[in-house]
Formats: sequence, structure tokens, C-alpha cells
Amino acid sequence: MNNKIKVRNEYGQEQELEVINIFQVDGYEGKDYILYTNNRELDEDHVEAFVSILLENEKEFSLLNIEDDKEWETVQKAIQEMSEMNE
Amino acid sequence: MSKEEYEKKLQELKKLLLGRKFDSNDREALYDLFARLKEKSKPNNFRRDSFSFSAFRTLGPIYIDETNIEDIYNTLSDELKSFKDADISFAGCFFKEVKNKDEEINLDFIRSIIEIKDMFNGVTWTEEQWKSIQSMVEEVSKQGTTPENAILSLTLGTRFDDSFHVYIDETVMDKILPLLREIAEREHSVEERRYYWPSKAYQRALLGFGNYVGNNPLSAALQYILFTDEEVTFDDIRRILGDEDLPKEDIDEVVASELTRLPSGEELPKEEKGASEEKGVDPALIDTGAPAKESDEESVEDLARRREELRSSMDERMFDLYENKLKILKSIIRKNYELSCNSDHRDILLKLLEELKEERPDVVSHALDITVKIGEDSKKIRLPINEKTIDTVLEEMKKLTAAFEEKDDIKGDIHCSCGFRLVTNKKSSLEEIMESKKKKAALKAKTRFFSGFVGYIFDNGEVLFETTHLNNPTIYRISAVELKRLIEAGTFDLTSPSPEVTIIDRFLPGWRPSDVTKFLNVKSAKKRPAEVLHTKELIGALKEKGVLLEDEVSIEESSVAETLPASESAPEASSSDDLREVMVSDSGYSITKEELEALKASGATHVRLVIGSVKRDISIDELLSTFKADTSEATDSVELDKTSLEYKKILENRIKRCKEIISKLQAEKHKTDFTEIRIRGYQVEIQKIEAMLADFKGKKVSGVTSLLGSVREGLIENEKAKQNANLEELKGKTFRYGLAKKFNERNIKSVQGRIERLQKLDGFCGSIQRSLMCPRVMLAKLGRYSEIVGGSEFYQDKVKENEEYRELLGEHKWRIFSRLGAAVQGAFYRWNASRYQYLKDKLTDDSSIIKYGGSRVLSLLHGGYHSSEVSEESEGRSR
Repeated sequence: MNNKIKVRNEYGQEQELEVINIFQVDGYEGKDYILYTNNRELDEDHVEAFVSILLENEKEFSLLNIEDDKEWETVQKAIQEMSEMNE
Repeated sequence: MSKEEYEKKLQELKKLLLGRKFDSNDREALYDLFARLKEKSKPNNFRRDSFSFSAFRTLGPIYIDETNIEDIYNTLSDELKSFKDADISFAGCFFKEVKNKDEEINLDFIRSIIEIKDMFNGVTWTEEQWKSIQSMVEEVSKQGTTPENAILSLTLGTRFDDSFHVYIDETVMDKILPLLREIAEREHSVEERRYYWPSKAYQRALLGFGNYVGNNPLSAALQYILFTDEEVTFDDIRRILGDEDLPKEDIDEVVASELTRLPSGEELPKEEKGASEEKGVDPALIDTGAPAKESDEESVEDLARRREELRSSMDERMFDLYENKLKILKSIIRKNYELSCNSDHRDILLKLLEELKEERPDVVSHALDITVKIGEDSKKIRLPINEKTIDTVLEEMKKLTAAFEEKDDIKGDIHCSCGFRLVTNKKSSLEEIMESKKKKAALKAKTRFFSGFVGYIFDNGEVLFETTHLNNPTIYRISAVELKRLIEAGTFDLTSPSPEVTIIDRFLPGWRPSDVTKFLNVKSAKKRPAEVLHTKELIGALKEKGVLLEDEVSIEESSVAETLPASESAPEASSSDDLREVMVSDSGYSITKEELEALKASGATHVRLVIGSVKRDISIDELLSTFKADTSEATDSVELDKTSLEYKKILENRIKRCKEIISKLQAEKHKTDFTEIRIRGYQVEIQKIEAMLADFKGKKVSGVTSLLGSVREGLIENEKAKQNANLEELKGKTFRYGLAKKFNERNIKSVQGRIERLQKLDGFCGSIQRSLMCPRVMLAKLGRYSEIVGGSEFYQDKVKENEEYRELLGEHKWRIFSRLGAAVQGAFYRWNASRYQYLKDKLTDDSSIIKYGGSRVLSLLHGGYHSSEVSEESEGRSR
């Protein structure tokens, strides 16, 4: 199961990320959200994960920041719901 | 507070928060507390640390520095006393250092900067208001320090070319702050925003804050392009321009053109500035000024036209600069030289002639012919000229003519003569220049520039554009003057027959669609006002309003066909009367195959297809072929969604997807008579189904995952199917309805495919992204988490065991077990091998589950999944 992707940041540095899932959120049709982690350990039980908007064309893709606070709130709730769905 | 005191307080804060375990019942209260703390945050460039609180949802980052840490610590210390400790790490806090942590900071200076930010953040001016403060702003800019000494620069203005830089360091802050306060107190408008900066990065730069990077034009210009505080490398530019192999020279050219957009703070060299002051057509410019005129037979009109062509192919400043250099060249070579010299001077002249660089650039606008006769030898040299070679030619001619002008001091009997002739490239060189420029523009546009266009003209002459890029349309509002400049710079390809206009998003301030919706006072962004214009109509309207002069922008149909591949050429009938506008998708008009056939029978050859607000002229044959597959089987009619210009592809994909879903559903015997696919408007249909489902819920019927899932994929059942919905069929299926879409086991495969595709593409990720503090097990459950620091194998094993156990128990019991797991939280999350084995051995029948899980499981088993209501008493026992 290889779910690693490589991205470059704005300074041209390459970073490896692990994709957890790609999903959509009700109310924000047409947008794909990507949940991923850089495996940074925050404490014994937690790692840092990120959620971005996934934009993709034939040659490249971008992970965009979710600018809108309301949208971010909704996406977080969706993730919470997803985790509960799989309980 | 000193830095040492700050560090001490930070440690106290960490001690207060790190390792603290909260009770899940306090979740909402904790959210509330940290939301209030966030208001005390300091989102500025001088923050030192940050911390976030996370319990599924993350609140933060909350930025701290010397100015607020005391307050935040006291608040937390006080309020956390009322929260009880828990055994399980349901939530937690984490800290991060901010990049300038170790910098010594002048707090007064920082406070002043913050005050300035607060004063101007979000402040916008109408044109009239701006005029009233313009002179004050100009005055403040004079009070600032020099760019070389600046720590920060503040830009105030309405556009790039109408802005003032205020360069600030600690020495001028005292002078500047009161003046800025005075400006800020003047009237300004928030309601009628002139510009909206679409991202935080834009906002920071365009509202004016960024670390000034010095006097290096390259980095200054690129900083301007990129709106970043950091220095930028050529590779960065290549990435942004979407071409890894872009030569450095081309980047220089981009930078040079960008420099022209810099506000008044960046001075042009004196010579260049002088050139730009001189405007207007100068037909005599291309006159050679040299003795030979026999080949220059172009009329004044032709010369003026060529000049305009050249202007349109270049950036305006570059054009002015180039013209000025041609004038200088003309003044240098304005006369013939004759002299009699000695052998020494002859050698000097010969050497100079040898050194003339006969560069062979691909595209030239002029050439300089030099005819030299030295004694018996004669030589004719042609130096091609374009904007790149002219500097060299100028230098060489200065030297050569100076050598001839020394004749008074030279005595000898070798007769020398020299004549110059500046000739205009009469062939297609100018067109080549234009083509070359277009190619470069296309190169630049490869990934960053988007197509799709709607124009609105406002009474004040401003123009609104929308660009569509994937599903992320961006709307720009710019002045018509700015538009004109962009047109002249070749940013828009006006020669396209389609209404596509290429627009460079990062050059322009933008509005988001929601802002436009608000501005236009319409309920939906899809609902366009009547002023929607085709590109050509927009240009026409701009001419009518006098914004563009008649001869400044011309769209010649003949040139259109030449510049495009045959398949994309403008249809011949596009300007004739039989062009029919047959679709207005905004109103949901649908066209059937029969209607199209009828149109064809009427003799019409082309139609104007309106998709959303974008119009496209296509042949009826093409339209028919587009719909052929769509109308043949499952559909009686097709409605077009508002899509981008790639409507065909989108349409085909959607219909294909719908058909797949129909087949699947038919196979599952859910519905057998889907007769219509209506792509547009399926949201409305979903609402109806949701209403129906709400009724089901009232009857305590478990849900309809598969049907709803399918609906969400774009399928709409018809009225008949709805009436025949068999509620019995839906029973027993788990109903889940919520925010997360496309997240279930069925999409695992498609997500994996998606990841594999991403692995083959170039990826970009900005530094600012929303983060969560996630329990590892939660990540494992959310998808395919594998790499867990310090325990990947263990957790992978757990995931595998999880699946095995799921199989063992069966779906129904598995769900119950999962609920049980949720109830005992940590026990479930912190599986260990012995517990797993215990569960595996024991939990194979209901009684074991009951024994282990207690009353809640009993309740779940007997009451059903959704209808069970766990009493407070049993909930309490289950813990």
C-alpha cells in the first residue's frame, strides 16, 4: 500500500506526505479535500494531520489552504463524522 | 517583559497544558474556552510561539509573544480549574515555535506596526475617497526612510500603478505613525470595496506589509509577483511559470516586464524615463535619416500601423524604451562621413568594423546597413536590430562615428567614406514578433493562467472578469485602464474566436464569486445580469465609452483564422444571419436531439451555445455528434450544467457516470426504469429525496445508504420511480446522512487510484495549511494510515486484525462491537495483542459481548441500531 506523495513547497523544497483519504464535503460540491500527514509526532498518541483542497490537472496538482473559516469548520465536522462512521 | 521572562512564562504555560487529559463531556466548553483564547492571539509577523487545542476539531493556532502570554496564561490557569481531569487523551494541546523566535524585537516598534495593520487592514477606498487622501499618502511616503534602510514597506493605493510606498524603519516610525493615524481616520468605505484580496498572502502584500528585500530589482520584482516575504530563486519562478526548463533570459524578460508594474517607488533610469514621456506616433522615426531612401516606400500610414503592431507586441515600457533607442541610433547615424586619413587611422577603422557584432536574432524589426569604403576596399555590413540587440548596435555605432569624427585631427591620403541606412523589416518580422510574444505568453500561461470569461462594465468604467479554473472560478475587478494595459501587453488573446480571454490571475487583485454575488445583489452567482458580454462586445462597449480608442484594439477576423488550428477556426457562418442562439442554460432550457435536427433542417449551419454565461459558436454537426451518444440510450433529454468551456468532456463524463450508476442500480434491482438523466439541477432533486428520507426517519425506518449514495453521484430518479419506492426494500439498511461524501469502503479503490495518479504528477503545497491534531488510531480508521512513528508495524497489525475480526463477527456484530469500542474508548483504541486475542476468543456470540460490554450492548442488541435510546443509567454503567 503506497500512499505517499511528494510535493514541493513554495521554496522548492520537496516533502513526502502520506495521504489518508480524499473526500468531498456536503455543501462544497465540486471540491475535493485531501487528508494527509507528515507523520510529525505531537505527543504519544497524536500526530499532526493536514487537510487541504486538492486541485489537479493533467500535469500537476496543488494542495490549497482552506481559507474560509466556515468551510474549515464544516470540513472538520465531516472528518469527525467519517471517523465515527468507521467505528 | 524580557525575553527570559517570556521563556519562563512559556514553560509554565506548557506545564499547564501539555499532558493534560480532558473529559469528553467537556468538549464544547473547551471549544468555547479556546475560541476565546484565539481572540487574544497575535497573528502578526512578530509572534514567537503558538499552540493549538485539538479534539477532533483543532482550534488554533493561538499565537503568543511577550505582549499577550501573561494574559493567556492567567485565563487558562483560572478557567481550567473548573475542568475535571480524565484518564483518556480525548484532546490535547501542542506547541509550535514561530520562525522569528530568536530575533530580538522592539516591542514599541511592533506595537506600532500592529496598530498600522489594524488601521488599514480591510480598509478600502472608493475612487473619490482615495482622491481626497492621495496627497496625504504622498506626503507620508516622503517622510519614510529609503528602501535600502527599510524594515518594512507599507503600500497604500488603489492599484499597482497608483500606489505609494511608505518605507519604514525604527527611526521614522515616530514621524509616520501620527500621519498614518490621520489618514486612517479619514473616511473610508468597507461596503463598497474596490478590491478584495483573495488570499492571506495577497492580503499581506497588497495591504502593504512584507519584508523589503533590498535594492535588487530581480528579487524586488519577483517579490512583487509572488507576494511573498521571502527571496525567490530562478527555480521558484520556473515552478510558478510552470516550465522547469525556462531559460534564465526568459525569466529576466518576465521580470523586466514586471518591473514596469512597480509603483512609483521604483525609479526608472533617467534615460528610459525620458523616453516614456514622449508619446504619440512618429512616422519619421522609421525614416532612415540616411542617404539611401530608395527602398523605403512605405506610406506614413503603413509605418504608423507597423509601429502600432510593434507596440501591441511589446510591453508599453519596453516599446517606449526601444523607440527611444532607435531615435538615438538615428541621431548617431544621421550623416555620411568622408575623410582622408593615414594608415594608422585606417587600421583603427578596420578594427572597429571587424568588431561589429552581426548577431542573427530570429525576429527583428529593423536592420542597420553600413557601407564603408576605405581606400580600395569596400565593405557592406548589415546589423539586425530588435529590442535585444539595439544596445550593442548603439554602443558600436557611437564608437564608429566617433572615429570618423576625428577627421579634423588626421592627415593622410587614404580616402574613407561611410554611409548608414536604417531599414524597416518589410516582411513578416513584426508578425513574427507578435507570434513570438504570444508563444512566450502561452508558455507562461501553461499552468497558471486560466480561461473562461465574463465581463461586466460598471458605470465608473471598471470591468469585472471571471476566470474559471477547474472548479475554482476567480473573479477580478479591474479598471478599464488596467484592462487596456493588459490587452496591450498581450495578456489577453483577443484573436481567439471563442470568448476565451486569458487572464493572469496573480497580476490582478481579485474578487471571489461570493463577493460578486453580493455586489451584484443576485441570489446566485449563476444568475448573471444582463450586461454579460462577449469579449468582442466588451471591447466594443469599451470603445463606445471612450475607454479604448477605435484603433487601439482591433480584432481582425482574417488574422483569427491564421492563428488557430483549422479545427478551431472561427466558423464561417459566425457573423452571418443564420447564427442562432439556441441554448440559454441559465434558465435551464434543454434541447432535444429532435430540436437540433429541426434546426439543421431549417438550413442553419451554426449555433451559439450558451453554457452558463459563456458563449461558443459551434456547428450543428458538432453539436449533434456531441449529443449523439448521450441521447441514444438512457436519456430523453439533456440539460447542460454551467460548465467551463470543456463542457463536452464534462458532459460526457457525467453521463457516463450516470449510466454506470443506473446499470449498477438495475443490477441491484433497486430501480429498473430510469428514463431520464438530468445533469443540471440535480441538487434540487436531491433535496426532494432528502425530504422523503426525512419522512422515513420519522417512521423509524433505517436509512438508504445505497440509494442516497447514488443520488449524490448525480443520479435522479424520475417521478414514477419515486412513487414506486418500496420502503420495505430500504429497511435493514443502515442510514447515514451527513457531511462527508464519498467516504465509505466503496471509494477506497478509487481513492487508491487517485493517489497513484497524484504520485505521477508534480505536486505543490503551500506552507499555510489547516492542521489537525489526530489520534493515530483515528487516522488509521479514516483511511490508509500506515507510517506511524515508533509503531507502524503494531498499528498496521491492528488494522489487519481489525479487518480479520470484522470478517469473523460479521457486519452487524462488528458494528455493535465498534460501538462498544467507542463506549470504552481507550480500551478499544489501545488494543494490545492479549486483548485482541481475548476478544477474538470470547466475542463470538452475543452473550460474550453482553458480558464484556455491559448494559449498553444489551440495549443495542435488543433495540436495534438507531432506535435504541440508551438511558442515563445504562450509559453510566457502561463506562
